[in-house]
Amino acid sequence: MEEAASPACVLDGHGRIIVANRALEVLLGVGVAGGLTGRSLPSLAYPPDEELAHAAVQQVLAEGLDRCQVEGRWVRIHSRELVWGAWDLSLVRDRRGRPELAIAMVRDLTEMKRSDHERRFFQFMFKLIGEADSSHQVLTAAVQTICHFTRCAMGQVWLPAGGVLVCSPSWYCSGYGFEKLHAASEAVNYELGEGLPGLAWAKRQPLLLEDIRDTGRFDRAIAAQRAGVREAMAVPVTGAEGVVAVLELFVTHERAGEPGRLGRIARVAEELGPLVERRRANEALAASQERFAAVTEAAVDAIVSADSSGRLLTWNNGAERMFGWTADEIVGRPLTVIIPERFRQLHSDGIARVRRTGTSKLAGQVVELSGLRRDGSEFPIELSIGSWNGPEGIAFSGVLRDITERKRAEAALAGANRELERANAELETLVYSASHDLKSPMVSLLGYLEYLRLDYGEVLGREGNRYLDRMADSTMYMQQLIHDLIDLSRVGRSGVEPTEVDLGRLVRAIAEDAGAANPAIEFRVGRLPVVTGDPVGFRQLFTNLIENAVHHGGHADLVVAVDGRAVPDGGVELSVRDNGRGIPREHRERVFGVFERLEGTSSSAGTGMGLAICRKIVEVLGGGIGIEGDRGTDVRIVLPAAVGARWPSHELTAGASR
Amino acid sequence: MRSLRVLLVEDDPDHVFLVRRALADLPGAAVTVEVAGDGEQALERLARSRFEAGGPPQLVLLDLKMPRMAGLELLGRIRADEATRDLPVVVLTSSERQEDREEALRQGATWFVCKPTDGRRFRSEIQQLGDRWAGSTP
Repeated sequence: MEEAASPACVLDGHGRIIVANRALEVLLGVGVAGGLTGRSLPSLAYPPDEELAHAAVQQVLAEGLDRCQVEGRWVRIHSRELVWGAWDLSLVRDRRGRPELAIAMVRDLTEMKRSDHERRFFQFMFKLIGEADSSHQVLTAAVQTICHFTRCAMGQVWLPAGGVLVCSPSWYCSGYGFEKLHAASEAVNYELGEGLPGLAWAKRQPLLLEDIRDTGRFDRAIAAQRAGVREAMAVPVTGAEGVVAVLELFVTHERAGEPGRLGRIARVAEELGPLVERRRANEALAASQERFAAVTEAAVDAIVSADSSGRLLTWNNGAERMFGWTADEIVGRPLTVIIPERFRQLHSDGIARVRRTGTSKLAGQVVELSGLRRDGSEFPIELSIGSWNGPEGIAFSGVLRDITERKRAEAALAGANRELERANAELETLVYSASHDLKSPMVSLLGYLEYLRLDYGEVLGREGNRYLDRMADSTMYMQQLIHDLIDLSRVGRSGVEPTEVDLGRLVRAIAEDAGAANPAIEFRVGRLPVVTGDPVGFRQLFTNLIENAVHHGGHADLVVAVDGRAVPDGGVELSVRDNGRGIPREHRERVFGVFERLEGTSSSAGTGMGLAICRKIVEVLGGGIGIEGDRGTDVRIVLPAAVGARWPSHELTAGASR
Repeated sequence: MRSLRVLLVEDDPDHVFLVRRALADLPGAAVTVEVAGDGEQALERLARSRFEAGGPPQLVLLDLKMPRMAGLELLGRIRADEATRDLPVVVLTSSERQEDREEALRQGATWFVCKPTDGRRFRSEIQQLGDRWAGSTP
């Protein structure tokens, strides 16, 4: 027996081991030879199986059964690992035929049982996972299976969310009293490396805490202890993207210390990672499809897709409303159903080209076409096409918008524009006619006044002549008003080709004329650019501004300065500045109005149109004009880069023109 | 004493009066002013004047804006006719449009005068015109 390869022992009449061979000592983890001697066979069994072992021994030794076989679990002496064994008990009788000894041969079933157990474990788990609706349920099902097969009392799932681990609300327990432990878990979040789950998360390794009473390593110890927990395990579930979850499992006192448990759980967790990831990817896809469907269905636009042969694949509510076909009726039919007859050939050619070349000319573009409704009516549409490579080659998506209203609005706008242009042309004619027709009677009026003066001047006397003068002045003033109105209406309208205008030269010429008429006034013309624009407009602009300065300056020894500088965006700022009495801040906007003159300035000449004309000239150029300055008047003009300013290399400074 | 025969083509009776009066007051010259109220009348006058003792007028004063035939059209017709081609035609108009001036000169106007509003200036401009053309013929 000593030499037998199979583990074996001899039992006395009470079931105690008399002698065991080396193989049995190895199987049951006995370090020293003879360590089993004196132990009863049932006492070596795993407690739940002890009864079974005892019964078998009784049958043989007490009841005289010649042979009895029993399968059961046995505990290795030192490691406390479980060993599955099939014990074959044979009775040895004494000379009188009474039971005397028993010989027990053991077949080690551990490997077989373990693999069988693992197989069922995995089978069960995959079945549950297969039934799970979500990645979340996959994890819950896994925890449940793990608890069942590894005799853990409770299991829960920690999920990384926003940089911390959060305890999932679904969990599993095989008994009562774990609610507080779970609630305590839900109340905390763990950062990377924090707490048992956080540590497993950080290390990406399964961890076992043999005794949760070690409060330094386990912070939910009170709740855990009340539930009777001794051991805690944290096992990361890792996929290609990293840790997707951490499983936390608890074992009670009576089940604690089972060797190999952590390893088994870890092997399961390894399988779990990719499963959860795949499920999550599906979920994300489904969610995005759901969102897409929701958006598509809610859209007012028609959203359709078609395969490479031009057959409709999808058809949303918007398309149903727009074309009058339901999705059921039209999906699978060719796109030409919604294309007017005369465009179908073009469409077929396009589809053929796409199939040949694999690319779509229209993809990514927006085109305006005609759509065909079910009732045969046509309407204008705007179509944007996208294409993608589907499983069966290139496919298209189209967003179609009914632009009937827009077309109508565009037509109305075009009509309004034409009307406006006509009205403008009419106004222009009117203004010119007015210049002629209003002037004619004034020519007559003043002509007769002249003859009245010549022929009857003496008869009328001094007072009568003064009246004549007043009549003449008023008529001349009216004439001036008409002039300015015409000027204002002309700005921006004359089809003058923009030409290069040397503002320096222009302003110096104007200043010279003004200087000749007003010798006391000093004119200073600074550095001014050459710009592109209407020379007449620029002349009028500076003439008006310089005249304003001269007329409204308020004293004879005035200084009028014209200057320019480049501004960063490529434009120009021009300034016409005087040291006269200035314009009060509250009137600085008003003076740009038509017919605006400041009251109480009886000496003010002019019609009050000058600055209105200036503003219009500047605005036609895309610029702006305003009044600055605390002493005197400083008219600032900003012109955009479009005037293409070129600056002279030399500077002309004070006293250039006087 | 110089003499001048003028054909005034003008539809506004007040302007007719003013031009007549200015020319009548022209010192040292006897001015005769014939008036045509529109282009057709003017052409008629010119055609008839060939058979009259004095011949065609020495100066045509032409308003641009008239009923029936516009001044520029009349100008074209005058320039197109062999008999009147070289006749001095001065356009005398209320229009201040630069375009009108350019167009009139291009169409063959001898001179272009924008009617001054100021009565004194009107009188003197007309008299200058009369003076200039009165001097050119005996």
